[in-house]
Amino acid sequence: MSKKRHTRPWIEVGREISSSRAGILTAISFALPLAIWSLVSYTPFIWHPDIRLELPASRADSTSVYVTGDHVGKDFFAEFQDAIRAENEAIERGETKSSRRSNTRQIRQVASLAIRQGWLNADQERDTEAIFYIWQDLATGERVSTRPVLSEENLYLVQKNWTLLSAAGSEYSRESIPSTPLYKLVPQGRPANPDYLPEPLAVLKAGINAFTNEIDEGETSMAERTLHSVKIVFSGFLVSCIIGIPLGMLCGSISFFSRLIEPFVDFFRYMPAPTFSTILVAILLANDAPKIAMVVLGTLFQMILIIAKTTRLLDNSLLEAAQTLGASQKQLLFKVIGPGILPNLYNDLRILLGWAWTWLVIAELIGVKSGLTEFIETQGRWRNFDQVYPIIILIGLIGYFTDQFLAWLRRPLFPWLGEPIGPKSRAVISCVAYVPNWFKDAVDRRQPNPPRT
Amino acid sequence: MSPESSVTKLPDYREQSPKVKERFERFHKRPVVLEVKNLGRVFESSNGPVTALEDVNFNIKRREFNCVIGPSGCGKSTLIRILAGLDYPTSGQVLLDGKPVLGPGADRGMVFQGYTLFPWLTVKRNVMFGPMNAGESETESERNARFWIDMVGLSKFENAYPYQLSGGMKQRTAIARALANQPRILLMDEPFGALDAQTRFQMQTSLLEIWRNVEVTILFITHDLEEAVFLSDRILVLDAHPGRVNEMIESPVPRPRNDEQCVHPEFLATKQHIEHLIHPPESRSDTPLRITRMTDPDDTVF
Repeated sequence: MSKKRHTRPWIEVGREISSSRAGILTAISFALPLAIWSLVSYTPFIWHPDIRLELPASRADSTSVYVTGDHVGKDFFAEFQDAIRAENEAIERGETKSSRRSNTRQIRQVASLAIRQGWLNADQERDTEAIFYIWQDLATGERVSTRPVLSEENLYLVQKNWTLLSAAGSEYSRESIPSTPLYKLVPQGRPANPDYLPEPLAVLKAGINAFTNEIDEGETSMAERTLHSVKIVFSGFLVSCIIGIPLGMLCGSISFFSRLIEPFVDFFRYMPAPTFSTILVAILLANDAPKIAMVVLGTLFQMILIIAKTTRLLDNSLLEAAQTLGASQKQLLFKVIGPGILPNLYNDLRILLGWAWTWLVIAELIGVKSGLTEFIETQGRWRNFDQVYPIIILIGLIGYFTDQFLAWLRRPLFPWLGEPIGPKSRAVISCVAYVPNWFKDAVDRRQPNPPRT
Repeated sequence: MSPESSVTKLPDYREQSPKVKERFERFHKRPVVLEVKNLGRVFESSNGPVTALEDVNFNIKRREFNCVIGPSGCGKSTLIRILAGLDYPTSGQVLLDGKPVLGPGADRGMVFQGYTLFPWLTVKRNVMFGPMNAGESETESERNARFWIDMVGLSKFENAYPYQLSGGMKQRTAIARALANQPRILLMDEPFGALDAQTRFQMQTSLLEIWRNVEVTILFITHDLEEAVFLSDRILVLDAHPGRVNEMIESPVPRPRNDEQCVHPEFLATKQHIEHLIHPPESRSDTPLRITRMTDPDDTVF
């Protein structure tokens, strides 16, 4: 007989979902944005307002020249094609004047195509002789372009141009370039999204390249940049902790310090940290110091207030119980408040570490630009957004996994909370389980042993 | 059941059997541990001053088990907090062994209703907290902690964290923790109030056993009349608004106490007397509830 299992509905108010379902939903929560991104990127009819050019395009009545890979609007592209066709008709009617010089430029129309096909090397862009034979091969059908596949219209134009070019013989010489005008290829392109929304695969490729590309001497590798950024964030955060944790705990536990420190801190945090950037550079000069100071400035004041609040939330009856057990003021601070707020303090610090990451971008822009932000800045200015996204995502991933790691550490660090242990944290715990033991041993060793009588 | 037999004539609570009388004679010769003199506490509120305690006077003898009972708002909690040094009196004073109490100290242990164990310490470490802070060595305080934990019957749980314990076990730990400091007086603020009836009875029995064997004086706050009569040598009854001493009752129930005594006439008489003190018959509201019949007329339950 089959046992009917009682299944709970997926959607239920105020009830925790099972851990296997939670895992599925976590996966979906990441898969969903990725799926939307892919859908928008790879399905032409959803958005794709632009045309990405696959042939270079220039017109007589405009100074702007578009190269392969440039984005143009759809309407502008149609208009552009018509303009080129009109130019070709004018050539047909013999209304256009020409020179060898301008024809040399026309010959190079297929250079980018040939390079992309691998028929020419990247440095042969201006190698007129080599390009001359590409025209021949294209016209005779010896070579067939696949990226892009030339339109019928353009193939016809190629053949017409080849007729003009081969008028003086099919062997290249300086005289091969005719003085009668050559036809312009009609621009070709594919529908594309704007350059600020690159495709997932392009971003992935750019990301892999950013870390695997050989770099020239004197340049900074991406790994070095990442390390530098991580260093800035963690140094700033560490300095904040060293000042902020004791001050926050004092403010939260002793009214005297609360009244003395918190009003000014409360005021100071409303002054935007970035406004101090030039001052920080003036004081600390141009290296990492002002950057670290920026992270400190951005996190410290919030930290003091948050930790003060966390300290205040400690159950006052624990302090009273400790007092009835004879604890001194100092013992209240170190033996009750300290360990008592530790789990909440740990969570606060996780949130504040996230804040420190947000200050990184501003910190790295002040003084001499550095780290990952410098790369984002430069590539963004050149509109190389496919280079920018991997770095943004990288920063996100570092932050996210640091936080997840710290979340997994909670269980072994604070066994007294009795929090349930998830399957994924088991691995992390087994790796770092010795840390609290080591810490405990270290504390035990430091306990003074009075002389035996 | 006839009305006559349902109300049996109870003896006067002041009638003590010769054995009890003899015990109280010895009791009164004992030295005073805690002395409360003209104690008053006035709280400032937005509606003007509120008097929580007024002119409270009483003594606690060495190794006495005293229960404080009173209606809500009688200042029981304020009183015990002042005794512990967690609050201060606005008039009068508290003397412990003749010396004025000026703040909290290890000489007055306290057990709270809300357990207040340190969640980050194991049972053993909780019990070691006081002695270690007083400078006792780790080995010494650990040895003593084991002794106290054994006394409250938690040896198997000495390495458990508080979250792993039941309410009763938490309160046993709290008692062991307070006793480990060997206080002159153990103050207990409704310690069993949050426990279920069965656990509470076990805890009361255990507490009496501990008190019988350990050099400790206990002042115990409760709102449970039976608990007060079952545990106490003397019962301090307070009035409310303002909190004043109404009567210090000497319990006529002989020791050792057991659950059978809960139906003995002297037990019931004492209980009834306190009941009258706390809820005077004239103050009881006997207005019946205005309930409309919502069931079928034939559908009776009695």
